[in-house]
Amino acid sequence: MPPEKPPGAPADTPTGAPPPPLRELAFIPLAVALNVAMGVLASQLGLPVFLDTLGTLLGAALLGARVGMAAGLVSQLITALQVGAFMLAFAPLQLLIAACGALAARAGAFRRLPTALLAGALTGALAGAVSSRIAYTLFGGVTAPGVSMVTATLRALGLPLDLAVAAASISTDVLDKVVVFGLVAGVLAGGRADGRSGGRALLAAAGESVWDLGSARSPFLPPVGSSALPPAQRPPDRSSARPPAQRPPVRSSASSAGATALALTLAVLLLAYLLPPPWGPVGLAGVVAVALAGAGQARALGRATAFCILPWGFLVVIHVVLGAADGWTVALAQGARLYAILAASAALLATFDGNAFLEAAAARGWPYQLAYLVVAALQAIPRLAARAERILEAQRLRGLRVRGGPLVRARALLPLAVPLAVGALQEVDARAMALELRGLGVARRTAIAPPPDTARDRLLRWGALALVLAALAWRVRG
Amino acid sequence: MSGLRLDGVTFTYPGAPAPALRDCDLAVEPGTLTWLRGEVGAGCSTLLLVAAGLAPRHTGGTLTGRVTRAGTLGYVGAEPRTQLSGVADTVFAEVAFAPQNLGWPADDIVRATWASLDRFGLVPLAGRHPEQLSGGEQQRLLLAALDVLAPDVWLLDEPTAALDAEWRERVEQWMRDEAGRGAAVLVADGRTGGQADGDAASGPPAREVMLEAGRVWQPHPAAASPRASSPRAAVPVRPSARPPVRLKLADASFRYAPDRPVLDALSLEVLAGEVLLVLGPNGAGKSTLLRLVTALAHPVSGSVTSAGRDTRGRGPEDLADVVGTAVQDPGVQLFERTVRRELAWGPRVLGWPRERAAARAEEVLARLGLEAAAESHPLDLPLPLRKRVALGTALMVTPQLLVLDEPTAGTDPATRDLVAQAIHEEASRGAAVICVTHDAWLREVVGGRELVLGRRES
Repeated sequence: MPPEKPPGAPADTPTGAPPPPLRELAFIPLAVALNVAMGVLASQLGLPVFLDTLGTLLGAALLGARVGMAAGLVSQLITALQVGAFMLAFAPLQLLIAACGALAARAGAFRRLPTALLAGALTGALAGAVSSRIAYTLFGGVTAPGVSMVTATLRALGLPLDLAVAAASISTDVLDKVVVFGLVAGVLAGGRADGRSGGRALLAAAGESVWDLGSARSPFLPPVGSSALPPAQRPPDRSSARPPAQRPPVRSSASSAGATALALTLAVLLLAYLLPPPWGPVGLAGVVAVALAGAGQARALGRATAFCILPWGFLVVIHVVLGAADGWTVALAQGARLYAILAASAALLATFDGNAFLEAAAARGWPYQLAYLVVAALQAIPRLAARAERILEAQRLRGLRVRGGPLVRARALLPLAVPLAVGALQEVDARAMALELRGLGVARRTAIAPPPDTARDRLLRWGALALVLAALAWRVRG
Repeated sequence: MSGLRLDGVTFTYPGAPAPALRDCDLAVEPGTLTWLRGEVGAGCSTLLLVAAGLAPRHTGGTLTGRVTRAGTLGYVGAEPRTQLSGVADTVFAEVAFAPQNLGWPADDIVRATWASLDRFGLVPLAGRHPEQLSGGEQQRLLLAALDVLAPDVWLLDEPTAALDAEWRERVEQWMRDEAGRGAAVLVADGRTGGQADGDAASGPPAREVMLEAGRVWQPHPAAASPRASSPRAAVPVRPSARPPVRLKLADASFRYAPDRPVLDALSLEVLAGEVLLVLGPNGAGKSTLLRLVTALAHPVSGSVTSAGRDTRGRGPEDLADVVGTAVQDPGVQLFERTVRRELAWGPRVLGWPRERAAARAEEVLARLGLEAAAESHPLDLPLPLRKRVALGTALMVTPQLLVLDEPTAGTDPATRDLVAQAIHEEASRGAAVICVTHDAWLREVVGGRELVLGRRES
């Protein structure tokens, strides 16, 4: 047992290896879930905004650009898991928004509502320009349903397609970021209350740093280390009352912890853009459909089809009805790409098992923190979504109206978003303490039931890699 | 040296005007059990955080004095839900989380995990998802998740608050066993009694330490602390004429799915001045009943009339001026910057003028003993005070029907007294009160009519 230093001294610094950034580890999954839950809330209120960057921006404002960026990237990764692997292409957008949020916080823009709204407008314009570029290149103009509608209208008015996409995207993004930046200011305002106590250390710290930016060095709390728990390398010897069952409960799960499914999905993503349009993507979509049907993933196929119907419609409108003579080849290629990627992603999500993933990460020595972030975020999403539902009910019980004109619904946003965001932030401290007390990052983690990796899985993974390389070589040569 | 020792510890939260702990001296020797007693806000939770070395490192703030602690640490805070690992998807994995992180050999982890699960009666739940457990089960899970490490020092914040009587007894026995094993155990516990009973004398040495306004003092063993609250007979005065019906369910049925009926043709009336206590096990439909009464849900057949309004075609916001509801978890509704503003918010949404809402808020603050907290952020308050704020939001509109969901869960004696008093006063004033509770004390004190919902077989 290593000797314990008296803890609690302000200069308490852990020795040896740098401590895992527990507060960040605890924060990022909640920020990701907050992004998702806010998106759900916005659509429940029927507001024409996404609000799905609130967690990213709070991270950037409270803990700096890096944490905001990490939250944004994990959000994007999970969106990619849930919506389709092509969403990974929007990752640069998350980095941009996090950077803008951190800059705005540094400049004190969240101190007052007007400056927060202005920063939001600027960020929105920038983000809209970037996202429209990505959307235009990748999908030929199809984005979120509402935005696509605006795009189609502008296109019908005679605007060139790339301009129509940009204009639609920027106007939506400006409105969205104005509202989100306003919400960040509202949540941070809570941090200013006097008599701050335990649970809200994060906000309390933000209250000082965001409001008093005169001090350039961040007055954030000292780094949270792992000094409370001396690493006990051997279990204590303690006889138990009776010898209980011997094996841990293990769920039947995909054999290789989704690694094969992940590799195949990424291969589909790359092949969709490497194979020659329009028949390459169409063939790929066919192969994916047959393979998934054969693997008993009919539900994933159904999900992908349901998802695709609306974008397919827009593709036809934009490229065939309003487009050039050969617009149908573009529409066909984009439609097939969308379908192949969505179907593969849906199957990946259906077979993804968080616990098996963690076990595999431990067994193979993958960076455990990364695995923790993804799995914790996946778990936090339903929790926060359920919480958003309870908040909505609790405020309606006090008389809040959430139906009616746009103004009524917009005014309902603050009493719903603040408890959701503050509640999530409050969890951060307790979770960081819990992770420290339970030794996260203290030693190399033991796997107790690592999923097996079969020869078939390895063959599939190498085969997928070979296919992608072949397509790339062919593409570069031709 | 071993065990835990605090010498002259003073601790102040960041931005707080006064220290939360003042000049505290305390020693807990290995093999002993110490009960830390104090009112809400006396600083018990803070003392445990400081003793654990978690404050000020996680919380910020300034510490003077000296904390010494030897050996491994097991700390369980007051709200288990937020202390879950966040990644474990089974109860087993939650308990195995810490030993896995510490890199124990796999066989040892499996053995120790089953042993701890067994100690807290969790073996049948080993495959369940931690977030789908009840509050009491989560509390036991958290204890097991640290028990697996067999720590040398235990710091437990209200470890039995969410437990039923049987498990409270078993966890108290477990704490004595841990002390018997040689651990230093410090337990913050607002209630009195229980451990003072017979068998404690035969166990390891146990003593009580009082904390008052951040200062430690130790009572003489002879001076028994008086019970803070005493049951009070509260028989509502019933006028001779039949009072108006405030809540009426006529053959109300509800189901979440065709094959899962929750409430089946339930009929009942609650009159003005009456208190209806709703009892029954988890899953019996208590929450569903409250959802029907408050128009969050609507019966699939039959009707519900709350405060004279048929809930058909109405939502909760259409009843909010006559029905006051205190939700079980206050965290889902509190958002304003101060308690005062929080209370006034509901009536303001309902269209009250500012002055009227403010004046009413002062009355409610005084009634619930919240004057001192009026300018605090509601989410800064400890749980019992947050529960009072939630109750206050329900009282603001002087409701004809008061709906309470576990108003005393996780609270201290003073808050429980205030809740019982509020129920009594509201009923006397002519409101009907419907209250879901597990609290035997509240049943005894309020003494209203009881509706026991049974678990369905399916």
